[in-house]
Amino acid sequence: MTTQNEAVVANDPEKGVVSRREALTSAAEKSSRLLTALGVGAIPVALAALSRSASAQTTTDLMDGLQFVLFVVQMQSELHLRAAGVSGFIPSADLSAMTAMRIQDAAQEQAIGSLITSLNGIPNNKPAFDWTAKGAFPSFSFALGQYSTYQVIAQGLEDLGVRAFKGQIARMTANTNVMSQVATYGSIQGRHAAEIRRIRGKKAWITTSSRDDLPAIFQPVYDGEEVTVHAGYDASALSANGGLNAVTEAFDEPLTKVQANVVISKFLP
Amino acid sequence: MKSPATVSPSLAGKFFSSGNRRDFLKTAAAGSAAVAIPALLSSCKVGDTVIGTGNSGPTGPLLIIDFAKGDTAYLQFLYCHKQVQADFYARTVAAFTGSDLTATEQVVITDIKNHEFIHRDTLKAILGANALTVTPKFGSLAFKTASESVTFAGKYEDLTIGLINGMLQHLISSANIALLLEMQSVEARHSAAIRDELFPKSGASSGFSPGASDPAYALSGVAGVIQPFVTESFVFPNAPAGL
Repeated sequence: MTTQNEAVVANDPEKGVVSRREALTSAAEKSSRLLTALGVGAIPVALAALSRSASAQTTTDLMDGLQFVLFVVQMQSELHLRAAGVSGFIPSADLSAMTAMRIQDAAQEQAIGSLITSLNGIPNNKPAFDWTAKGAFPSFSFALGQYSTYQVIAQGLEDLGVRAFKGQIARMTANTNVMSQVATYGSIQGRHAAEIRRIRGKKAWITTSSRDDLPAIFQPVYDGEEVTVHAGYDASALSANGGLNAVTEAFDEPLTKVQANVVISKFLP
Repeated sequence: MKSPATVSPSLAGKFFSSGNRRDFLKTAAAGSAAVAIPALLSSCKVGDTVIGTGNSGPTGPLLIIDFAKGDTAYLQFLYCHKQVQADFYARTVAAFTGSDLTATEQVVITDIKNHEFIHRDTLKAILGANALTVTPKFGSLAFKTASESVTFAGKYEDLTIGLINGMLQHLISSANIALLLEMQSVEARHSAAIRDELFPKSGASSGFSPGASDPAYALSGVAGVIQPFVTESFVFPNAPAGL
């Protein structure tokens, strides 16, 4: 569970808190017992405590789900790696954030591969990708000046990752410890999607099933995001809180493997 | 009762149960707890996890979440957790006038407030008669000061993410698992947006994403963290190992 422990350390509010609010924050935090009480570094990590096998789902579902989330992060990781491979391709203002995204997606690729190995599986190899998406992005080759196309694809694939992870995590109840662990990678997908959206000047969350300014090839990433019924309750009754748009923003819906593959297949040669 | 030696066996079991990794949550002061409170005696038993205890026993009315109820208990705690979060955002939005939150921070916080109200009330509706109400409290938190309120917002979002990640492995119902997953990544989007307001476009651990994975927290640990913001004292009968 090294990964989780590292994550806890990374969340330690005492570490790495530097910004425009640095001075204010350090002074205020010292005086605020409330914020100190939210120091989350000391919370026990829940994983490894138990593993339940109480579902009808099989280890075949589990392994297939793991292979598919591996595939998704391989795709993201490769995209960011290609972008990082061209000097000056990523503007310096975005370099810190996009570098973190690349490193974290690559780390997820490693970690999920290790999970598969630990369950006596063999991680699938990373396939070759067609980043023109069969011509949807004609002549896109990570050339200088094509950064905005990379950003579009990155948003599409990170938003896709959020939903694709959910669809697969739900198939992992044969080993609930693994399920919770993969969820710890799934929430990072949400962080990445939020950041690339914000860098592009968009809200961090998805409103209705809007792909916003993304091309039609990515519409399947957003189809179904407009759903308002959750665990049998229709949350549209709560539209007094920011309208139906807010109701749809408050939940990210899962995508099945078949649904996710509609978009993914466009990027396979 | 001034010392552990004089505490009755049943209460000793409750407050000093050996080998319980949750013991640290019970304040060290519980060692001198005066716990002869009839309500406590009648509603707790050996092995119960009591989160909110102080020198004089529980610090507020007991809020009992019985884990014999399975999934329902986890949703009950999440609903309590969300009530604190939603109330925090409501107070922050109400304090915008005269605050030092930037205009963009106010837009982001307003959106998140709406999302958290929707999460809270969705859980309330799903729980129905099992919904337990808590009374949030924030002491001297400076809602008009971004370095406190926006920072608090980000930390609470991170906490929520870890809570949900850790909860998933305990749930039986696929509908509940799906529900929590549908909220989890939105919490992650919230956290990233807040962190990005505080530390724009930063790849550091304080930035939008602190690492390749988020934590998966033990529920009892999260309860210990949020207890100071809840008037009632959490009590967890029939807590499973590793809660």
